[in-house]
Amino acid sequence: MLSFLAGRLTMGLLTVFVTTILVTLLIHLVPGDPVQIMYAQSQGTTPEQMEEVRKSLGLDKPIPVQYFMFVGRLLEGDLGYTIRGGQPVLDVILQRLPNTIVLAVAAMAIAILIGVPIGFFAAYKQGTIWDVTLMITAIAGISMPHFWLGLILLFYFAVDLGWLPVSGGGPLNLVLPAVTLGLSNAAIFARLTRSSMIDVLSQDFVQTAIAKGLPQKLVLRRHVLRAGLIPIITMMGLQFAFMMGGAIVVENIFSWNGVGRMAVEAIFQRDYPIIQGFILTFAVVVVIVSIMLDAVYAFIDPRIRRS
Amino acid sequence: MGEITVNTPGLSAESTQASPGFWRRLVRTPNGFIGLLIVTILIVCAFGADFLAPYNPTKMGSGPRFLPPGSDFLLGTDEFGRDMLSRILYGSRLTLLIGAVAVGISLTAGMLLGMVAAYCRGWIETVLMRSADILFSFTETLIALACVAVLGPSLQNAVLAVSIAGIPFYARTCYSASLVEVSKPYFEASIAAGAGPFRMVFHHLLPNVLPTMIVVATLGVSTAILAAAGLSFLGLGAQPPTPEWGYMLAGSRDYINRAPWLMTIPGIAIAITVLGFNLLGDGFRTALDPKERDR
Amino acid sequence: MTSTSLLDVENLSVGLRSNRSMTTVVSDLSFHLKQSEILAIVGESGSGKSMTAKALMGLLPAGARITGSAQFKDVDILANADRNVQAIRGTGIGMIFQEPMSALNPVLTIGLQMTEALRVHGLANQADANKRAIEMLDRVGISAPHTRLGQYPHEFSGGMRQRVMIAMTMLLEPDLIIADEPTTALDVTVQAQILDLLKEIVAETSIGMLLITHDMGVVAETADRVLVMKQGSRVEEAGVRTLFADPMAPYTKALLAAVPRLDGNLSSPSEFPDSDAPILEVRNLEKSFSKKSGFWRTQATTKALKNVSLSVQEGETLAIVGESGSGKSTLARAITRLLTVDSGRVIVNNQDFLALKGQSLRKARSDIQMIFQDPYSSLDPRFKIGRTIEEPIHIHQNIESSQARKRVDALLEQVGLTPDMADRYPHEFSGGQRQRIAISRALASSPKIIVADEPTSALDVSIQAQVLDLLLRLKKELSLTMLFISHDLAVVGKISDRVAVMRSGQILELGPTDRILLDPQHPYTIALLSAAPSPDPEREHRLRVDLPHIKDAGPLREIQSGHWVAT
Repeated sequence: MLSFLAGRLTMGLLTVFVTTILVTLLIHLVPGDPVQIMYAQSQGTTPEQMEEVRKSLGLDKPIPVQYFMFVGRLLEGDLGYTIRGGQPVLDVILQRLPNTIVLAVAAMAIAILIGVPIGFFAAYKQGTIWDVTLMITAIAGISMPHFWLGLILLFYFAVDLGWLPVSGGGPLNLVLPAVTLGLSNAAIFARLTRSSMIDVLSQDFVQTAIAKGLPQKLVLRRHVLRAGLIPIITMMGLQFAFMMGGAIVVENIFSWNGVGRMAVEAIFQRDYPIIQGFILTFAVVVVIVSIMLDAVYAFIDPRIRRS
Repeated sequence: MGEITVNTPGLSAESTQASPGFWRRLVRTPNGFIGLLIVTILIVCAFGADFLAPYNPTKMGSGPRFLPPGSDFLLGTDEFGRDMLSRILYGSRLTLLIGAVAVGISLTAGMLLGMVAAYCRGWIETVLMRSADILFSFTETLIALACVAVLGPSLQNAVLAVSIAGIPFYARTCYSASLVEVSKPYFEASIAAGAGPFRMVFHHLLPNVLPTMIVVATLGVSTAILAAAGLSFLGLGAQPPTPEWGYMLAGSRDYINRAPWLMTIPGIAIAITVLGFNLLGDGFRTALDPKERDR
Repeated sequence: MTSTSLLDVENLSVGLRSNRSMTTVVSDLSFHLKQSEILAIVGESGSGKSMTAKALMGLLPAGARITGSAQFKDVDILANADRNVQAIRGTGIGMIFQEPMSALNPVLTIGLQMTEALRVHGLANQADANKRAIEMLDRVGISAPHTRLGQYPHEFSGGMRQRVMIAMTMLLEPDLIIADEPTTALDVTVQAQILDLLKEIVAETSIGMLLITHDMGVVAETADRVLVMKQGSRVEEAGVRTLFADPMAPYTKALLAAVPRLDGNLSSPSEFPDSDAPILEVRNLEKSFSKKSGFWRTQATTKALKNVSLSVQEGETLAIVGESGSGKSTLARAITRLLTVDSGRVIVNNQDFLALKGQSLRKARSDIQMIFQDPYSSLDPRFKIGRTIEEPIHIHQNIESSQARKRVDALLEQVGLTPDMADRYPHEFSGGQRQRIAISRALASSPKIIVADEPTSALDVSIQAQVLDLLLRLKKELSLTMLFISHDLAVVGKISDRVAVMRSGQILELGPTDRILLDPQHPYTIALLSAAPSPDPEREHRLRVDLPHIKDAGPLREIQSGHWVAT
């Protein structure tokens, strides 16, 4: 088990390492002079000021040197300063990151609570009208653009019915974005669960359990569900990453003050230090969550725990 | 791309080359039939937009502003008095183009990378597939966003961003499908017969992974369309006055009370299109899968 | 001991739904089973033997149509199947499956899986159930049984899992056990142990057993009575001695004739003097596989080949025999350069085959061709078979397509097929036909050496006999040199001139076929031979020899001209 986790940890560190390189290169891939583009929207920036910024970003030095400067500052917890307002990027991100994580976790919970039971039921009723109906619903759910679903929910529950606030940062405000993000992912979980359970149902050990004379309920609960959930756990890390990606859009619909909304604003304003910080944060969060889930998986699956 | 259940590498080739029965099997599955129907209608709309559209999609003041759906303007008009029906029709052309171009680019690049990695093995495989794994865990949304951040917001850049973002997914899928084939005796037999790399990859590997990849690519069209519409919705893709559905949806927010149809119509259009490709992909999978076929 | 009837099956028919129509897989089958009796149902693939077993246990897929009756202890388990079958599963009739690797749930402990049925049937409380499970594990020969309940299936070997499976079934004290190919997935030495165990259990407890198998050797060693099935129907039923001594039905006769026998007529080995220039020479081959774990770190290296050397003379057939994990297939793939070895040399035709690269390698490959085990995946499903056979010709010879086509036709005829088949796809052929096609592809580049890796193991016994005859004929006609990889000593006896016995990546014994089979010297060879089931119930069972534990065998020593044994 330790070697499995060590492997996953190495992979995670590698991911972060590659991200730092990509993030450093990002600014150089911009066609034209990044500093000029950054300041194109604010009037009255003198060439001297721009030169200063270029220096402070280290853009006058060779790329490898820039990379090591970037990593060096990173290790000190310094992600640079925003172009607009000159605040430390780390502070700006840390201030909003909890909001995004709360949203993603809530959505994940909704997706699992709705999707897994539906998928399990459909697998159990495989080939029946229940299965067909549920799976067509799931395809429809996956096909629903979540930005549209968000708008509809916003229109009915916030604008039309007035049950929930349109925007803001309170707990009630979490409901609509979390439901939006959760519903579209519930469909994915339903499909994942169904195929995993159908896979298990066709295994020999299920026949063994039936042949032993176990009642059907026990076979399903003990033999099928346990074995079928393990692959789902291994997929959850990736699903969490998708949840974080989806949050970018959903945050913008509901004006939820998370890092996704911050990132889109930064792209409009060409505030590259924020974009760099955002991508790095995203990678770190995804890596941490997947390593946590890998640990859960390694503990639950005896084939890994006892190896 | 949220859907990674594409566990199709098991698609046996046996069922796929005997294609006479393929289309019949496809339309026999409910998913395949509805999917094919929707996609066909979409293609007709896209090609026939010039004849079908009653008005110029970008001309302001074709009618009064905010006219609800009615007899003159079947789907109503928007905040500039443009005809919604015409905009939706021309939008279908854009949407299909976006889907086709984005999937075309990422499928081609991804398949090449995946097949090369599976065929070459060794350090090439490690480097290519580890990179794909890392990029894949970033999710397509983030990669697309980063690309747009670099290139700047525009429809072309959004399509390019979505294409690049899709490559890791296709590379991984094609890689795992290829691994299955590469380890089969027929593959080794051809190597033992003295076949070179080009013959192995393009004569043996490509035809055998293609059915799997067609399924994946059909499903991928929906993902690409959703991703591009999402970028346009955020304002990072299509710019005014392009009749792009995601962008139209974004604009509708300000008139959510006054003209709800501005929100409903493009949303339905996107959802039906995406549904069509999802159903078609699902139908392809069922029609190609011998296990499903026997039901 | 009473011999009252335990199970009376009358007019059993089973239909399965496929492609919107019903296919009858078992038709009008009747048989009876008494207490303390082992009834073997034997047949080739598609005979319906497994479907019969599944029908009795109610394990057929939904939509199956079952008619007839099966009286088990005064209850017709087929009538009102849902309730009646549920009542007899486990406690009335227990079942043992073919694949011990997948028949146990990988995420639950052995203890839970063994005791849960006892608990559910209300036969014991947990403490009592645990005690009985430990006793039963001890009975089936699992060492340190009291430490096993907390372990998971992956911590047991295949043979051990099958023992656990048997213990689990026996724990419920059923009156009847259905064993569906219980040893097919196991190595021959393990198979012998499991069969002995099953026989002991039947003798001790006077239960009845229905043994489903395809292997006449297993039948002869185990069964009291035999029911031969073909395409869903009964062909013949008789006591085991009668059936083997005096088979009535032509099908049974053919089946028995097709079974290769260890003691039957061995191929008379031709003498191949040790010439200075063997056509194939393998020197000190080493190969280790490392299991990757984590990122670049590798660990758990297993040596698949340890200093393997051998040489083959032109026209000779050398068989490599071994159980799973012996390294025999690795050796085949190393010699054909389908994998890269760590060190050592392979000399083909006086040419260092492993040193070749690029174009010259591809050219040299035409001299040494391979036939694989699985006929279903050894042909490219998207190539018409004519194109598959033509490929080697196309690569190596610059000849016109009409001439190539003629060559394909000739090759097809050579392996007993017809030229018009060239335009068909592999899925239109049966397993045996596909193996013939694979053979003709291997011959297409006019190779000097054929490496055949278990070419008949996936085939039914009657097809196996045909393919072996074909190989023998081709070998003679084309004076081919052959390396024949197999786990089956009886098959080897039919085809090879010399035999090399491998285990754990080493050659333990090497010599002329008759010497190895009739006068084996190495303890492992002796154990292997004694474990092989023989299709002759009259024969005294060979003494079972416990597998000697060999860690590293010494170098080969010549004890007689051409007969080498590891020290």
